[in-house]
Amino acid sequence: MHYAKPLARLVNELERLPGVGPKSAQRIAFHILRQPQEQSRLLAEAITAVKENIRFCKECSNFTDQEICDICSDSRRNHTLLCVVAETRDLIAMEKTNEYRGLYHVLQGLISPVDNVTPDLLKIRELFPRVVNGVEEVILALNPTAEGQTTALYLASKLRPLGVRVTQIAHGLPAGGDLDYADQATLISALQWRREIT
Amino acid sequence: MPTYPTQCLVLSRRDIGENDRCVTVLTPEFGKRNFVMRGARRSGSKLSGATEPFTRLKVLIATGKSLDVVTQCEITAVYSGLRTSVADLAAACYLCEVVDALLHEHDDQSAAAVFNLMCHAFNLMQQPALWPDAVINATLLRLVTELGYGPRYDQCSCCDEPLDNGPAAFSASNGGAVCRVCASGIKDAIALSAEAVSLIALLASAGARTLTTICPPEKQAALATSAIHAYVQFHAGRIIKSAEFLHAVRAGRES
Repeated sequence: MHYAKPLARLVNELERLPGVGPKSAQRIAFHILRQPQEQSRLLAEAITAVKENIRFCKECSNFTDQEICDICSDSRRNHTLLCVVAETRDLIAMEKTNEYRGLYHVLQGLISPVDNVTPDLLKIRELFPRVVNGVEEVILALNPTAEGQTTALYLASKLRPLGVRVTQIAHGLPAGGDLDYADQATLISALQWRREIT
Repeated sequence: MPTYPTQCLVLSRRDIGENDRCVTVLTPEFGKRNFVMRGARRSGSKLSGATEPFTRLKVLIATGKSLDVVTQCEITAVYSGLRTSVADLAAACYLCEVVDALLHEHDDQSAAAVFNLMCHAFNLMQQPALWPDAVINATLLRLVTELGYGPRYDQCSCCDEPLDNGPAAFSASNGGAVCRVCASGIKDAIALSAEAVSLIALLASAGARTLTTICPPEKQAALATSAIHAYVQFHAGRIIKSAEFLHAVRAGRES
């Protein structure tokens, strides 16, 4: 290692981040080194603050700095509608649509037997008490992947006996997509999820 | 950059970089390989559907410095019937993980046979069966046999004596059925009835019709399944992570 010890330590730590290789880690480290002291301090404080203050919402398992997140404590939202998503970033994507006004439940992952991610490692157990507490419909907004489908089928089998309506978001062609470029899997699900034009 | 066409069956995938995916596939010509699919994670990418496990593809591959890159791709089968129940998805995941564990990269000796075996298994798994584990167990037995680790049923795999009084146990480390005398000294021996061993032998050779109509007694079926899974696990040389989930689903704990 040709770096000074503190710099080498920073490069090593940055390399642990997802999608950051040795070259990127080196570039970021030198950028931090060159920027004013105040900016580096703010970055370090932000990292420490996020680890110290962010926790799971007691209701929906979303990341929050309060006991109950803003969405769960918002009385204007429809509390009979619950949308199940895999990650917080999926919740943000759903919120950006401005179409959905119900509540969420974040699983913090998807069932993946190959990666040893079983239902007990996800926030699934926390979902059931919420569902029996006045929820009329559970919308499963999970990725159209093998893991997403495994999780959706698993949840549907567990939720149906609770007497709640379980629906899944439609899977198919993306907006602006070309039919002739769509793959077989996408077209099959687009056909399966077709609906009558009213 | 030289290119070559091939067929493949996606076994698993992992994300790399910002938008790319690396897929582990089984090809009939080159065995197990890793291919990069550039931009496959972008929404609207025509490659994203092709990175899903248990999807059969026709691809054009460009030879890369370290990993080969998929330049063109057509999905030829999606086995959508496998994606309608947790049990089928878990079973398909399990088969893919076993193949991934048993095959070494660039080992093309049994590649075509294993590729056909897997495609056949996925087709059969979409059909209704009286004993759903029959197809999985039969595929596992044929897979190990194809790779040269096939179990023995006719003679004791420890002392080579004929099993006239019927086998007493099944041992993965010894390579199959073992007699009463040898069974006592083998640590990994799973006590099996002669009927359960006959069931294993039948599964290894049965045709598609038998596999979908066979319905053995529950105890025999459970014993044969655990012996086969232990046998495969031993030869895989590592823990098959999806096995536990599959067993839980089959036992009704997770379905």
